[in-house]
Amino acid sequence: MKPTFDQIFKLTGTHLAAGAFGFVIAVLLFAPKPRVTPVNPLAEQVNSLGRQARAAASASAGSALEQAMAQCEKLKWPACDAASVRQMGAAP
Amino acid sequence: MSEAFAPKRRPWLTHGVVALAVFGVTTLVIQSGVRRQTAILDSMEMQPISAAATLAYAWGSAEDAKALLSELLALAERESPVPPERSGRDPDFVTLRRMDADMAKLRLAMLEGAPRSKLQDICARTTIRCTPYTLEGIINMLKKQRHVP
Repeated sequence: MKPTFDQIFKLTGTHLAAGAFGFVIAVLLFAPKPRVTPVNPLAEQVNSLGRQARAAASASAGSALEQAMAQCEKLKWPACDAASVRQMGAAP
Repeated sequence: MSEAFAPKRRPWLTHGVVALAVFGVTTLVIQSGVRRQTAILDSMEMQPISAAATLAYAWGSAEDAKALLSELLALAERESPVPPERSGRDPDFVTLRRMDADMAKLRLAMLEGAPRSKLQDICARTTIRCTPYTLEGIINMLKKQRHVP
């Protein structure tokens, strides 16, 4: 009545394989698809301006401020002077 | 002696049961995870638009602010195809999204120069703490947030 090592090994292995088969089928059938978020070009530009303005807020002058002002003017926003752009980056 | 160990009839029955049990448990775990993650992903997807709309409302042209706030409102109010499931440890992302939608509606109304009756109407339907008594404070806050005419 006592099983041999080979029998235990084989039976355990085949049951593990059956479990793995069930797992793989479930994953293949129900795994969520990666979500693709559409990019909003206006939001990209505004967020880029926000990053540049934050960089400009911590520097008195330099390329970050100039880039932020240029980006602001490209967007045709009403206040694109140096003081406003710095305040834009400093505001929470 | 050892031949009695393995069943002679239907030797694959237990394998099938194991495969089905693992299939069922895995399916339940995946579906529960998807329901929980959907609310979080919906909120995460809004973040770039929300940041841009906030900056545009404060400093941008009225057209850009309106476009971004409308986009934010559409994202905040969309119905998820999967019913959300919330664990006690997670914030209530659905309510947070509704609050974002309420603020977007109020900001849009301010930009459009809506009459007070419209603001009161929006206020009455919001999830944020907006009452006739707090409306004045919210209007003042929204006016201060807009730095350009």
